Amino acid sequence: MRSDEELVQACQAGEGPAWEALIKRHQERMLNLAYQFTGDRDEAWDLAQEIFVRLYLRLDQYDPARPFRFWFSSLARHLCIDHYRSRRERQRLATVALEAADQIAAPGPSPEQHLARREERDRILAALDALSAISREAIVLKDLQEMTLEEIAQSLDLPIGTVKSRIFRARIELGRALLRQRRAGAVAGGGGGLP
Amino acid sequence: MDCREFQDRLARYLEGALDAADFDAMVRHEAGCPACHRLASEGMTDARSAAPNAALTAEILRRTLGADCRQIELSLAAEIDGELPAVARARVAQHLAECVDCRALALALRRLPEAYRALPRLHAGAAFTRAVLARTQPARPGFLSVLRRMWQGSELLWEGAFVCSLLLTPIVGGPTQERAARLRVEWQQARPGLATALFSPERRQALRTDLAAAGNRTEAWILDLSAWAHRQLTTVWNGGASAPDSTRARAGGRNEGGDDELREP
Repeated sequence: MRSDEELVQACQAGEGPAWEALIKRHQERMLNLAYQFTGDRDEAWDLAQEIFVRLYLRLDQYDPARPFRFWFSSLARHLCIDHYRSRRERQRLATVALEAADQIAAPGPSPEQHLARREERDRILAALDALSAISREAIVLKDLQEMTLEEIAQSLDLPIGTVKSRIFRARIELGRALLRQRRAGAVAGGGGGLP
Repeated sequence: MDCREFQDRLARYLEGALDAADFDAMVRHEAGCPACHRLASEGMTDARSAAPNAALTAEILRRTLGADCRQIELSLAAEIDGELPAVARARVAQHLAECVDCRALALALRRLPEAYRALPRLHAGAAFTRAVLARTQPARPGFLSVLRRMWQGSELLWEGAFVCSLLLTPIVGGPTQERAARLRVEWQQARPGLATALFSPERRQALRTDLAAAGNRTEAWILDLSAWAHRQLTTVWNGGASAPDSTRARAGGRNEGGDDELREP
């Protein structure tokens, strides 16, 4: 199987199948990365396509001395963060409540479990939405994309210590956001949540 | 967990002697039950007054190890990766035993991996590949666009040929009256039968009469058209002098004069 770098070189030479192979190899990761930034399936679909279109336009700028995976991740991350910031701004201006995205069928063994899972998903998505762009990026890359500290440091061009610190602070921010939600849920539901 | 169970385990809860599951259950119950929360807070105060040594130890540890909430929070965040040293774990446990806020945060952070699992994995599939390819690669040309391109290509060819002929005409020279007459003479000398067939008005007239008699109007019309084109060409080649019989020939569909012939100078 050809490496990413070889596929890129083939793409640069105008080899159509190489481009298709490159898409197939990375589309799952990029779609989920986009979803983890947007929290919405349709937006993620569009954003992931946009990532690949941007990649296609910038293939000539790729430096083979750098691992493709990091270069591509960096490109995708920038687009996701830009999208995330613009979306938050739109939400702020329109004061739109968080949508109850209910498109993803998660076939559970029972309706109760399914409902609980959906609630949990909505909670985590809402908490992720409350994070700053940098914190969300840290959570997505480390906890959701499961990249190593070294990979993140290389992708962000930051020292490992800084990356670690960002991740820890992001988790604390996320934990607090979840606590706030549970408190709000407890108040609305008449108790039973965390303080 | 109900309030009775909470009270039964309270002492060990305050000592930090419960295992993780029981500890979490106690934290959850305390968080949702104001009465038990008050009891736990009072118990902590009583324990401090009743056991000054333990409180003193905790205070010394807090001040010497610097286990304030801020540092504990960072330790809790690091705990998710499972890379917290034993000493730090002990410090965290000690702090959590007395700090309700950090206990709640610890619970939320320890639940993060489970919360992450609630996020679905999306599958891209072939539809996504097709969508990206459609946006990044030009569509295959359809039949009409291929025809259009061929037409444009041949049009260019024709234009090129025309330009070449314009360029060549001043050099080689156009077909003049003299040259046309000479051509006819040469043809008549070389192949008298064919030349007569080509340039003879009598032959055309005879053929036209035969066609009219046979009622073959289409072929007669084609013959008229051909004769008309021939006259136009002859007129141009003769330097703009129109053939005297051309109008009559067009109007009557007959070709009686010598206008089909290339005229002599």
